[in-house]
Amino acid sequence: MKTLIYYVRIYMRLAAQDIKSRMVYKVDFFFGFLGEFVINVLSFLSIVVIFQTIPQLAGWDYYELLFLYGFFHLVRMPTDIFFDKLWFLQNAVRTGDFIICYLRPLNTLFYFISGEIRLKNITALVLSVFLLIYTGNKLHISWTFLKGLCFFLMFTGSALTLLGIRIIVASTAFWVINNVFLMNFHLKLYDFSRYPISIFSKPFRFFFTYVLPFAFIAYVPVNALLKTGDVTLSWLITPLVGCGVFALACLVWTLGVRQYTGTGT
Amino acid sequence: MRGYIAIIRNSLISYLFFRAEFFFRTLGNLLQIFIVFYLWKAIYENSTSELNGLTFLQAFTYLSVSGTIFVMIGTMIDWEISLNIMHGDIVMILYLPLDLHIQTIVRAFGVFIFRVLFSGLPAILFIILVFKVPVAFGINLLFFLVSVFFSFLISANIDFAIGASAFSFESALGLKLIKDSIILFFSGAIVPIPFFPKPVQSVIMILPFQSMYYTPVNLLLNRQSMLNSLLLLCIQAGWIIFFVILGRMFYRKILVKLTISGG
Amino acid sequence: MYAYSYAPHIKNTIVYNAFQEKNPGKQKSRHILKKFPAGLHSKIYKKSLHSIHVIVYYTIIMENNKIIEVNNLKRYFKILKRQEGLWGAVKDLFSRNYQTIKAVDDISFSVEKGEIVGFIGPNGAGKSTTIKMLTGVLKETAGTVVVDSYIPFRDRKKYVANIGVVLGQRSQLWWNIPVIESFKVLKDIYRITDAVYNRSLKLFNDLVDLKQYYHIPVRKLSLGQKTLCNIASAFLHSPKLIFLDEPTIGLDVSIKKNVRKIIRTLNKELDTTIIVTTHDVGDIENLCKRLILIDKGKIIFDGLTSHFNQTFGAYRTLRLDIEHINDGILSAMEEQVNNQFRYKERIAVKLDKNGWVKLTIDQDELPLLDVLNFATKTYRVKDVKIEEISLEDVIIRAYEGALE
Repeated sequence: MKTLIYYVRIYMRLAAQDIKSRMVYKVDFFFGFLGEFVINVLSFLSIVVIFQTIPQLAGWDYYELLFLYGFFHLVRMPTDIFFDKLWFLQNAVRTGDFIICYLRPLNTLFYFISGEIRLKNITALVLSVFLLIYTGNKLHISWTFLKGLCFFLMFTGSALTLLGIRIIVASTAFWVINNVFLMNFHLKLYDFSRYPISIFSKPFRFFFTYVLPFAFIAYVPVNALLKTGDVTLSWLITPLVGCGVFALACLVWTLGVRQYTGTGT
Repeated sequence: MRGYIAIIRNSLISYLFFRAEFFFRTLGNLLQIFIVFYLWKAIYENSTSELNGLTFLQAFTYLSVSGTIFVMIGTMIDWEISLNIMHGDIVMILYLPLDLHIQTIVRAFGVFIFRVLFSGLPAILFIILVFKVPVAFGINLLFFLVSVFFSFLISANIDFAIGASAFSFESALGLKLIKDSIILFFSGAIVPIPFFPKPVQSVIMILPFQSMYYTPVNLLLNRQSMLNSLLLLCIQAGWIIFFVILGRMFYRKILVKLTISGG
Repeated sequence: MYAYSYAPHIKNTIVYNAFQEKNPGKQKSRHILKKFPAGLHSKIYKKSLHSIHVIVYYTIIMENNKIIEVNNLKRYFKILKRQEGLWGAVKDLFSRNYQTIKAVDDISFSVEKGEIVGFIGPNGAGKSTTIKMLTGVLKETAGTVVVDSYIPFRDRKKYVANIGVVLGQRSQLWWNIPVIESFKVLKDIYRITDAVYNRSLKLFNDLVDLKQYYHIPVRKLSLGQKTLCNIASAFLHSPKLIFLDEPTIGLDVSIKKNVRKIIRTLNKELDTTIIVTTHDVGDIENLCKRLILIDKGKIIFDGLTSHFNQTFGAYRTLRLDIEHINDGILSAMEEQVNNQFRYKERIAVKLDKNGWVKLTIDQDELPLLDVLNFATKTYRVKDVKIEEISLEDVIIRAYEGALE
């Protein structure tokens, strides 16, 4: 507990400074928010446009699909707001700046990601929360305390899955140095969690459920909530998968940090 | 000229340098094609044959080829230039005996050629063979290649203009993200243009973006009269000139500022 | 058991010493010892009657004067051999052609508390690799490192809380945050008490007036200002040991002077042990009493800076002002001098930039006065100067491999 407070305090201090320093570049700050807004609205609009023509997609109607869409974006928020610096890991590894993470008496992952907070993603956060409330209303979900709790647990599990996958992919930088292509590649895989996985053929469904757990990022929990009605034990699979993936991610990170030798002679 | 050839060669080598990069890029593109396939199969699931005048095969081919073109013509020019400007390295360009505008486009061209040969054409062959898309083999293939090259020039010049504008805007990265999503959306690369409401369609036809994606796909898949094909290419050329001029304007601004303030 | 609970982090070293004590002839490294099953460690420990003695002896050394103890340290790297050209790049995609590089090859040394030690050596000699192992960044391939009774790589988090590191070419402060805010974050990270924090800041303000930079973001500082702030940041928690990696690189003369002043003050007033790696002769002359010269992964010299010249040889440079000197006389003179004296190598006779004749000779081999006598007899010498060879020249000779 004491350690947690210690870490939180350091994080808050760095985050506050980071936000302050970003505000100095007013135009950049503004365009960041605007960009995030435009991107999210446009990708949301593409669903709207498609549903102008068809009433439903693979048994999912308009509001259900938007709920899935909103949930997916909510799940990616913790990673995109707090762990954005993972995109620059390969940079830090290549230039040798990563070495500084070793020289602080802190967890290396924590130290690396702290001091960089992507406030502009709050736009997407607000949009997705709005979308979830709006579509949730339209879908007449009957909330109970247990359902709410399970929903929260599933959300946490999904967020941990996504974060874990991001950490694992980013960690490859310790071995292959330039891993931009892997980072970009794994972004494409998110499409398998953004749509109902039932639209894909069997091999894909199998692969993205049991091999790479992308199905657990949005489809599995939303399907449970919207299609199964009452809480069952199977709702807990998502949190379990989340913990598993995250634990694996921590392991991979540790191994990477250990074998990284820094640049220069 | 030899200087520029050296640049192309270097960017090719450095591209080959990283193991597995090529493999994952190809795999990623293939996955993208499959995602488009399954998504649109689901969309067409309950309809008998046509939606908005497009059959499933037409819509799929249109979107998957567009997606491949996006992979081929995308550049990182805007990203590079704006980073250079922000870090102050841009002063270096004054010391090089090459024109920054031509130099960056030429460098991107090296990457473009690589992507056409190793990602684009195989992917298009894959689409045609695996999904049995009817394609006429004739002069239209040549037109297609020229058109893709023109699309690349439009894209590269837009990127250059965006990157160079970082000098006055102090924010090209935000601008890049906006640009990318606008281009993808309004070029019909995500949702085919016929699916849009009529008024939006007419706006899209005025914008340059559809000419980057719609024109090459059109030239590949539909039989056009020679005259019509050339006309479409001329429109693309017009957009190239437009963005070259825009890019030169921003570039001139940078040079003036640099020589006055010294970076 | 006593030893185990007393200082768990030096367990391996103790066992290692106990092992050596028991088998005096055998030089086993910890690397080999580690291959034994875990139980054997304690077996050796329990059987050895000397072990308690060893432990007591060891901890006393660590407590009282030694702060760094390095034994038979090795670090090897495996590197993929890249091939040239376009086709080479393609072939690299499939190649498994690795090469082992011995970056650090069996070095041993120790550092006492309160010392300033200079680490020198040509680029790629293994300096940085050694420093990385000392700071817990890199794991050793073989050998032992004990610093302040920690094993750096294994105890990284606890260990680095007790040291400071300055990397001359990188900023350890957050680049977009004002200096004072960075300091405050470090205060939290290192759990520095107000008293220590204020004392550290005051000391730096007295020395270099750091206050003026407090509210400027790091990226807007000049290189010199950045370095001063970096050193200050590494010192805030008043560590016992500071590593400085090329602290004066790229700085102007006056800031160099300031940096050296700070380092000397920290060393004197707070008894901070300081390890400096540098290429700057000024740093060595002004700071380091002791030098460790590393080349090709091995220690070539370890001793007092004042002994460095002598180890290399008692070189003197003789300068003569001779009337009507020209190239003909010069080459004739070189011929005569070499005929007259038997020396280990051919003596070079050259003109310096002032038109004086210059000869460099090792005193131990050939008394300089003999040469001088010979010269004054043979030529019309107007003036004479005898100089010691400069530290810079010695280092250059050392780097060029003359010490081998």
